[in-house]
Amino acid sequence: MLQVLVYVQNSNCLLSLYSYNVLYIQEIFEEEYEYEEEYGNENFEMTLKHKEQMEEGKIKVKSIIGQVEGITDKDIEETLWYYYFDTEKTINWLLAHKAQARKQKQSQKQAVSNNSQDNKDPQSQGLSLSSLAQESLSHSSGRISLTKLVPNKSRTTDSSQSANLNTRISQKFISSDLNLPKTKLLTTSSNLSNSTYPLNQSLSNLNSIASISSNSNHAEHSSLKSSFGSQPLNFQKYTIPHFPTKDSANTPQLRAPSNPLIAPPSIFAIAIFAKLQDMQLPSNDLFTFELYATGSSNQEGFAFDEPSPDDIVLNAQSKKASNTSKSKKITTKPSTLPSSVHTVNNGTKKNIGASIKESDDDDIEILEEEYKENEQLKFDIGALSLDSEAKLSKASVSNITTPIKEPENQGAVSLHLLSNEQKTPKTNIKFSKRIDVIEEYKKRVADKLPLNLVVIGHVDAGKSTLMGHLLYLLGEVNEKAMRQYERDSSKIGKSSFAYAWVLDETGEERNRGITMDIAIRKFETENRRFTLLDAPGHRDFIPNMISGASQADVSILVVDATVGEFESGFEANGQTKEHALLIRSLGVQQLVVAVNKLDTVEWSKARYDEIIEKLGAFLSQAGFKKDKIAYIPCSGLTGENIIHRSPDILNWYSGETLIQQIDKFEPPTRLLENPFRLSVADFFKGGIGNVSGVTVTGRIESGTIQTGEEIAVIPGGERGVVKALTINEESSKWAAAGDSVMLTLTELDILQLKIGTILCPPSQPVPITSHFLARIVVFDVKIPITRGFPVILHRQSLNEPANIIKLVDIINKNTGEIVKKNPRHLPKSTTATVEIKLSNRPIPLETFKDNKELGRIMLRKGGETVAAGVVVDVSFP
Amino acid sequence: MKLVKKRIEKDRSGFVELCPEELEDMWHVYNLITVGDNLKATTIRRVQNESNTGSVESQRIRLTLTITVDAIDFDPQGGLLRIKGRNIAENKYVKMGMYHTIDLELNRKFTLFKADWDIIALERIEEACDITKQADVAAVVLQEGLANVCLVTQHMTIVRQRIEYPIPRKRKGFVTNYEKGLQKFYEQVLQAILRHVNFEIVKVVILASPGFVKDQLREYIFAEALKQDIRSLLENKSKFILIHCSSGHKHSLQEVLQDPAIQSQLTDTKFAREIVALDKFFKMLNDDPDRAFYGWDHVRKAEERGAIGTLLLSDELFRSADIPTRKKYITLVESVRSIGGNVLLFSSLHVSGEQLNQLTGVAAILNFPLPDIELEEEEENNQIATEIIVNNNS
Repeated sequence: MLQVLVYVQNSNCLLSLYSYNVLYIQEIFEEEYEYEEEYGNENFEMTLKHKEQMEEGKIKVKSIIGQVEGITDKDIEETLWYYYFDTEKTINWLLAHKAQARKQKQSQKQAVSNNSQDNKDPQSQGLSLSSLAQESLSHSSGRISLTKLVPNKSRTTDSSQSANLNTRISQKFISSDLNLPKTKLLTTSSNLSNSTYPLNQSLSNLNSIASISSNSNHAEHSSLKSSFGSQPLNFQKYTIPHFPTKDSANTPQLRAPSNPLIAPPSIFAIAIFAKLQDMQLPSNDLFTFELYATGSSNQEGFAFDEPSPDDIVLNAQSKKASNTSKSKKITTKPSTLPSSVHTVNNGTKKNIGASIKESDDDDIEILEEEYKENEQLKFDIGALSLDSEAKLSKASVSNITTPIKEPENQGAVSLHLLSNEQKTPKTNIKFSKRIDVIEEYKKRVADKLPLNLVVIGHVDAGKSTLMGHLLYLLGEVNEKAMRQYERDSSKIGKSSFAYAWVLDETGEERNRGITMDIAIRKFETENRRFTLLDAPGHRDFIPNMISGASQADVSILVVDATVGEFESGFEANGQTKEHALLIRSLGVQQLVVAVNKLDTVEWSKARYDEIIEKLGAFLSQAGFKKDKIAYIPCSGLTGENIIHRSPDILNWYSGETLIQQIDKFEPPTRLLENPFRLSVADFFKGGIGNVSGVTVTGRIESGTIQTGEEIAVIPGGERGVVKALTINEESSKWAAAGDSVMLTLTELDILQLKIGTILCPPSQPVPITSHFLARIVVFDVKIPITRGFPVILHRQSLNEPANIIKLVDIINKNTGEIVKKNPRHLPKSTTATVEIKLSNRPIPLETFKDNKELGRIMLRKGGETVAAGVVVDVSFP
Repeated sequence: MKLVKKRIEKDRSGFVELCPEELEDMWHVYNLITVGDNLKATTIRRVQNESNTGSVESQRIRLTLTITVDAIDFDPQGGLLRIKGRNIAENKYVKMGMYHTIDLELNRKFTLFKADWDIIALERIEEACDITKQADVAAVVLQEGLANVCLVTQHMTIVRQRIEYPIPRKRKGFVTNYEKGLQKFYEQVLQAILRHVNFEIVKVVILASPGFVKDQLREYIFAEALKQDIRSLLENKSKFILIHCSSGHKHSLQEVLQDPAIQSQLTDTKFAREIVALDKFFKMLNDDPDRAFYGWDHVRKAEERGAIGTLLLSDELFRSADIPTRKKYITLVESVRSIGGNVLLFSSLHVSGEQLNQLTGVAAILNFPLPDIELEEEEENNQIATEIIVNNNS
């Protein structure tokens, strides 16, 4: 069923005249033609019921938009009547109209001169609409049910010339209406006066739309009626963007805000229009057509075989950013200011939408909301990052090609708007005070490369002692403290633990002589600046080890050369293998193997060779490249071959010392350009130095941060401001990806934080999910992984219980092709795709594609790591 | 639970009169009652009387009602069982067909009428009325910053309290925050134990954790007990057992109950048997996948060939299922028993039962391998979707 409601409205007429016109035309219909029952005859007269509804609606509208300057009661009444008491639409129209009117005044002078070129855009839009109308006739399914011409927003235009024209037009329209059965043609116009197109042509075009649609009515009306009975019809509204012509050129950035409801046509529409491209149907009125939604949608999904609109826009954005790094600074803080206008609209719309929705409409409405929001986001991006017109049009073209949003953005988009609606920015750094972090980073990197180093190995392999000794030799531990450790440790009969005490500081750790939690220190070598993470070796503390290893770039694997000890650490129950596999799946590629405690075997070369042979075979099997592994014989207790080597002891070895070797580590590429992400590893009350607040520590996974910036805490969406930050215990104004930092946040409640919480910019939040798709590699497990397999999911410092709820397929590791679909179980060392569901609560998670650091997960059960993998998809219904 | 009266006819219709005595009995009743049964019990109903003058007076009266069950609601935390249905025996206050919700109470008799008492239901009564009391266990599974205080009975595992307390990590030269945080965390766990553990009922209190958290917790508990003179703790010191487990999440309870030290304490309890059987199933799936199957289709095929040695079933299958589905599973149970197989009915309130539920609720360990079951299915799949690449015998 298709109906065209053409409202031709005289811009110069008084408002009362406008409504008179409406009524007049409707009367004509009533008298001469059968009228649609769905739209009810009661439409035409203001009954008592209507008056009541009017009052109700008015109060509702007022309560939502408040007292806005320039919107009178009369306006509200008019609009309510116009939309037949649909408060939601009314508000949107009123607000849009308001913004419009204001701009109109400003741009009035330039209007005439600009007009001719501006009309190009509307022309094509008008064309699409009318051709759509035509095309839909041939589609018996007839999803397009109602086409409306919304009164143009520039009612306030004043020109005597247009008045004359308009009168003529409306007269003609009315007369033509009489010949068009079941077509509601109401008055509109306004801009026609400024139009450069011949009036006759535009009129005939409009008429053609009308006649086409009227023809269709006969055929389709009856069928639809029978299928839907007397039920109220559900409409899914899609609005074709048809920007007010005068403003679009002058103030392109404000385009989106001024038209909150307007989005590009669906793919469906595009497909239809393509055929009729050559038809010239000029018009420069605002067209709104509504698509009829019958369960299944006509939209086609985006095939992802080309860059998505988001990609195009973002690419352009980043290109621009890299060209001039200063302009980057502007774009990194987008959204909050320019979007304020439309978020108001959006917010109110949402609220009302929720209350007014009919039950049947719910699903559609929600879909539609998301759809629109997404479009708006795209407009945001378009409007903000691309100031030249050419790029703008490119952006909008690409928008049109895929009106369906990409699933990945779902969470992010809604979150983004949510946070924008509710909050105003807590801080704003002055432009002059902003630091160009990328530039600064380059300077710093030129000095000494920063690296995060994790020390791993079986329990009692001597990790802490080796590292404690190394720190001592490098002068990071003062002499006095070292003497103190020696005295105290020998007092409790553990004198050999003196160096380990540098790192093991809690009473429990010292008494028991094992490391329980990650210790973080810093030290520098000739060319590198290291953040040292000393991991616990005991199997019970692997969660802590994962927390540390996930912050690392490179690693030292310490093995005990003592006879029997190496073997027990290397065999099934030892942690040597598990640790190595873990850091490999966490993305660490460079490894130094420190063969420790060689003093206990009299520096035997045979033993050393035996160990590196065994280890080498395993490590290459685990996925480490041979040239990325180095072996160093040493002793943590005596300090041999850490920095210096006495030639008479290690006479058979001529390679590097430990410190020389780790100086050769290559830093990995940092995700500087990605949005800021920090996974909270630890937090506590109180700030750095004199600042009060909450302090958060962790490694920056991607992006950059500087003091004064506002961040959002996900999950929760609360915001805080970075007041102070330190990198490796030195205070700094900024930090970048890869830095292990401590941030003091103000204006944030500590209850909002949890281990594993993600800090990110409010404009680019991390999606949160409780159900996701992952590709995993199964480790050496005793029992196979089946459906319902309970696991503990580790992501950075976070650990949460989860279940593997579906085994999707088994994949050939080398070729990547699917070996088996819906397997019953996953035996050891298979690669598979699985669905994982969190048991307790959703967690922030990004796909591996989006963020290499946040997209890695470990699955453990019963104290063993059963699998490691990457997140493929976080959006599940 | 006490069985007061039982009268079941040859056509298997009939009634039983039962008297629930403890919280767990409610769980049994919940599993016993299905939609469509008739239930007669005493209950309280608010009755409104309109006097001649038109004033309305309402009063709560206790009366015995018989209803046809429409819906059943169970809250394991509070052991509350609410049964909604229509009245089928008219009396002075309640007309026929009026809705009423009966709140079953402890120590009050009720009568349950069923048109068909099947074997699962009868066994359930037997089990519920077994007077040999088995151990109730309280378990605290914890790790630094996270603790679950649970009660484990024969058929239920209830998490009484989940404690989450952020403990700052150690930092260079500054460990007081960490140690203070830990003390506060232990304090919360102690309070939870005092609040939720009734030492008169509970035979064993398990403290389970990775690392040394459990040892520290025990030290803390008894130091505090001495300091504050908490009798109940000091007198029951011997009931505390330390067990190692891998994490503080609820999953780990399964590891804890599998521990030999615990198994000897809880000899031959139902949940211990369940855990062993499930563990065996998974081991079999790993070692000889052709002898372990799950899912109705596979298990039925194995049953047709008479191969099932042990059948693992979740009680959820019998609870929510409609009559044909219920019948389907009962036939399966009977057939497995007839060939000498072992049938284990898992309680879905235990961790092992939860896991079995995830595995479709039905699994079987076979006496001999049946590799063709999977092959058959693959062939079927192939017919449906030819493009699926099949690598059999995996």
